[in-house]
Order: sequence, then C-alpha cells, then structure tokens
Amino acid sequence: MRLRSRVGVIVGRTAARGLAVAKRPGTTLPGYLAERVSMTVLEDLIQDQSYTSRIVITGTNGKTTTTRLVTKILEANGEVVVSNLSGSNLYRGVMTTVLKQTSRDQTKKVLVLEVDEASLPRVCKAVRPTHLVVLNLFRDQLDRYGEVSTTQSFIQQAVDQSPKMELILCADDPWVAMLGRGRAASVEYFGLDLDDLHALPHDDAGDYPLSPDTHQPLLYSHRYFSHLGKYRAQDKSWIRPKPTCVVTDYAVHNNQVKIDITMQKKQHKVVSPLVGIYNSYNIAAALLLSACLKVADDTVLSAIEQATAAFGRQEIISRNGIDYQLFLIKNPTGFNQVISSTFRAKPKEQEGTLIIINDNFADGRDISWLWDAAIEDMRLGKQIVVSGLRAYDMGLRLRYAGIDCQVVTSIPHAVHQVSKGNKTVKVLPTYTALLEVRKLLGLSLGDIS
Amino acid sequence: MANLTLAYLYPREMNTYGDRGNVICLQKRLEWRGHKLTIIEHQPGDKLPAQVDMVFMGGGQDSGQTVIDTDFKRVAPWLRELAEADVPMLTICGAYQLFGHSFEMLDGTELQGIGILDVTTRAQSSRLIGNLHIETKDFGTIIGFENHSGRTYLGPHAKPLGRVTMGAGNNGEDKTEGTKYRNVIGTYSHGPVLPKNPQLADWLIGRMPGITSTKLEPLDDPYIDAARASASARPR
Repeated sequence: MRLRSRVGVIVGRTAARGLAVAKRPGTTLPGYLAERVSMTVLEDLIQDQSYTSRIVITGTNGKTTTTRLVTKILEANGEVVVSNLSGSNLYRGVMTTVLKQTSRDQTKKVLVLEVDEASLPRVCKAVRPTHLVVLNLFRDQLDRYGEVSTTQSFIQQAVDQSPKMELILCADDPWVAMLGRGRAASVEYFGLDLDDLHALPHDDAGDYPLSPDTHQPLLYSHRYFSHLGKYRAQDKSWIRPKPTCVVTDYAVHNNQVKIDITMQKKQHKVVSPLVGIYNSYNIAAALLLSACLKVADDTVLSAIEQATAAFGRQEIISRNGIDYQLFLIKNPTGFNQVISSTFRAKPKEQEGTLIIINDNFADGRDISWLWDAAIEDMRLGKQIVVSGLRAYDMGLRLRYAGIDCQVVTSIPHAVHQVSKGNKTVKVLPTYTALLEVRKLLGLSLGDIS
Repeated sequence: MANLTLAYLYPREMNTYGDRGNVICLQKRLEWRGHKLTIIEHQPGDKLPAQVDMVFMGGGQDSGQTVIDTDFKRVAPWLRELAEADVPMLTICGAYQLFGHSFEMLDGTELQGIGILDVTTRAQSSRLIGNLHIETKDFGTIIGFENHSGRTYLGPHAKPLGRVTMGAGNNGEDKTEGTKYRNVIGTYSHGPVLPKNPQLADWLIGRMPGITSTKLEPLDDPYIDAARASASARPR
C-alpha cells in the first residue's frame, strides 16, 4: 500500500476507535479524515484486502432492503460479509465501512455495498465491483440531481468504466435495462410476469425514456407501476430483455408474501415478511445474484424467509398496546408502492394514519412530488393526522384529493393525537421525520404528551 | 353551471415535479363552485379538440422534449390562435421555454420555440434549484420551487410576471421571473404553483371563455395561509 494511504488508514481507524469509545455513530467521519490524508485510500484498501466478491447494489428504491437480503444469504452461506448496513451509502460512508474492516486473514470475505447513484462512478472506480445490481430508477431528490436521465448517466458511466463487471439488472425498468446493451461481460435480468397486476389508477409518476438507438417512444403492453412493465420501442428496434429470473405469482396472506419465482427452468416458492411488489423485485434481484455467486438454493430461500424489513420500511413498533407500522416515503413511486400494498383494502376498525412531511436537506427541499403520488387512490380510516415542517402542504394535497385530515405540526403531539382510540397506526414519514418518530416511539406515549 | 374543457398538453412527457397538481387544482376549484372541467390529455398525434377554455403544459425532461417536438410544431398555429383569442394558458419550466422564440443548447445548436412568449432561453450546465418567491403586481406573492438549467431572457415586448425576492427566476441575473402575454403565463415555478397560489388559479379560471360572464364565488381555503407561511419560512 502507498505510504500516504497507510497513514490515511491509521488516521481513519484511530478516529473510528475514538468515536466508538465516545459512543458516537461515526459512519462517515473516519472515511472523511482518511481521504484528507490520501485520495487513494479506498482503492489501496480494496487491493490490500482480498475480497472473493465485491458486490455493489444501486437504484432509487430498495437498496437497503436488497443489501440486507444479500448479506443474510451470504452469511447463511458461511461467508464473512463486510457491508454498509447503516445505509451510509455515499463515497465516505463506503470508505468508512471498508476502513473499519481490519482483519486480513479471512478466506471467504465478501464486500456488499449499497451505493448512492451519484457516488457510483467514483466508488466503482476504487472498489472495482465484480457484480453490480441495479434495481430501478425513479424521480427522487430531483432537487439534487436534476433529472432521471442525469442519474441514469451516472450509472452508465460506472458500467462503461468496468467492462468485466457482471450486471444484474431489472428488465422491467427501461432506464436500467438499457445499461445491459452491447455488454461483452455477463448480464442477467430479473423481472415480473404477472398479468393480474396493474398500476394504480392515479399512478402518473413514471418517467419514460426513449429507445436508446432510434430515440423512439416506448410502447407498453403491460404496466406494473411507474414506468415498469413490458415495453418495446415503437419501431421494435429495442424490446424489453427476457429475464432469467421471473416472478410468476404473488400473494399476500397474514402479513407474509408468497411468491413463485422461475429461474433457469426451476420453480422456487419463496415466503417472506417483505410484502409489496417492490419487495418482490428486491427478492428476485437477491435470488439472481445468489445464483450468479453459486449459493445453494436451500440456503438462499431459508435466508430470504428470515430476512425482515430494514429500518423504517414496514417496520412495526409496538408501544402501549398500539402497533405503529412505519413506511418511509421519499418519492412518488415509493409512496405509490405503500399505497398499493397497504392502503387499497378497507381500513380496519381503530386504525389511524399519520403522514409526516419534512423538507430538511436529507429529505429533499422540494415537496412538489406529493402531487405526483396517487393520493386519490388511498383508502383511509377515520383518523388522519398530518404533521412535520410542511404539514399544511400535505393537508392541502389531501384536501384536493377529497380527504379530510387534522393538521398537527408538532410531531410528538401528532403521534399522541393519532394514537387516541386506535390499535393500529400507519405512519408515513419522510426521512428526517422517520428518525424523529423512531426516537419518540422509544419512549412511552405518556412521556410524549 | 358551466361545462369547461382544459387541454393538458403531453401529460406523459411533460410532467415532472408534480406539475399535474395544477390541473388537479383547477378542476377541484371549479367543481367546488358547481362547474365541471373536462381534461383532454393531448398526446403526440392526437386530433386537436374543437373547443378549449384553457391550455396547460408542464415541465419535462430533455428526452420528453425531443419526443413532443414534431407534434408541438404541428399544434403551434392552433395555440397561437388561442392565445390571440385570450384563452388562458399556463406554461411551466420546459413548456415556458418552448413557448418562447428559441432554446440554445449547450453545444450551440438552437431549437425553435413557437414564439407566443417574447423570450429566449440559453442552456447552462449548472442548475438553478431551490425555493422561489416572486413579488407580482397582479397576484401578490407567488410561492414555488424552481429547478432548471435554462437561463431565460425577456425580449423587448415581454413583461415579467414578477420580481424575485428569493431564488434565481428567469436567469439569476436580472431578478425577473416568468412572463405574461395576454392571458398566457410562463413561469419557472413548480411547487406545483397553483395549489399554494389560489389567487393565480382563480385568475386563470376567471379568464376561461366559458365562464367569463359568471361571477366566481370565493372559496373557503383552509390550510392555505398556513401552508404559504410555512413554505415562506423555509430556507432557499
């Protein structure tokens, strides 16, 4: 390792130990300090530590869940997994993750990273992934990156600079599928084949690319949600690639999902607590990647069965006899997926809903996207409370969808209000609101009021 | 009760940052007053509607603007005729640029607009992004959000919609934002702009040919003052 990088590693690791002693989280600071010493710390560390595989997972929605699934599967397979499960997915977060891994003598050590789309070219250059999983691309944080096509170009750049990297791509998302065109190295696709599944009536959140060669609009014979579905270019110059890993049946029963997945002529019956079609994509991606890594089917299926949702994704917290179900919302497609999976059936008795909209930097300053979500398709119980820094904007959105609500701007008071007389509370917070709600639910509700 | 029609141009290609919310807003504000607004979604190649009371077109991504180019040129004479007949139109961001004379891309190539609005736009690589406050003579303070890379300059006959008090507006240089010609409004304001600025929504409604003789009832607008106040208090 280069001398500067060695010094950088020492600085970073010392900082990490210091933060651990001080009981501070430190998911990015050690990486930041190491980088100040040497710009090549990450690539030198990667070269130094021999990972059998280096897997990178990216896409707008589902990165954290898929990273968890893959980590569980590989651990069940007896491998030592180094992963940024904290969700710190920018360059420095990745570097901190690798930095903290100090042992050198593991024979089966695997790196599994979720990486933010914009950080991808830089991270991939240093990490040189053996496998890249791309889940989907939706409008999200447009106030940071501008347009979906810009985000796509970041991923394209990372793909182009690594000609040997194997790709695992979503066939149903044309923005993602086009990354696989003309690759010499292996490309595998996953997708759905579900004729009964249709987009919500008010799902207008799709962003449709043109066909890559002839710039023709895409025609859809079937649309699952957003711009995901079965498509082809108007002039047939490009058609949706045929996936090797296909979800052929989807059913939910008692908060569990049962899906059939066909892969290489084999049928798999998958059971998982990860409900929602979007999670079926995540599961299919994890299954396909595991097949590429030659993990035995039984190991994969039992690990998937046990993998629970990531923090704030359908997380259930029980307090004072009330079940709080948390559904992080951060973009219209994610919101629509929560609507599809949990707000289409008749609401239960004693069920409340709390929607919390913050517009801090980490949430994205722009809240225009609330108007792209299919709020009109929500079936809600009697008690609906909205909260957060932009509570009144959400109140306005609901009013224009013909839904009455109470506005309680203070989040603690809103939690207290929505808890009255209810046994179930569905909470839909933006990112910083999620952190606040989880903290609040760590306390008893008596403490909140 | 009036039966009105709105042409929503290219909803698939030209809808980003929640611009669809403007159409929802117009439709509801008419419904709440007992009127009906039919929305005709105009897609490339579609026949032109015989009668319209308003035209709306939102912002789009670059790929969206390429798809609609041919069709947009086809419908341009019709749009010009409507504009001269004082039909109200709301054009946001990408649509605002295309309603101007031209759009000069980064590599110097020039795309022709339809020239209803006396503005020209030049692309730049940096984007102007953030909360946007505009002081206007006709509509008071307009509160929205901007996200664009084009810099738009007013021509000799153009009047700005208003002056920027927070944000960049047309070009980040001259403090102007948007423009207005007859009843055609061009602006960079997303948000979407109409729900939080009902004074602008009602002005557009009041200019629809099928309703100009009817007096618009004021609406009870709960949340609106608080939503405007909380949005105004947020940083850029």
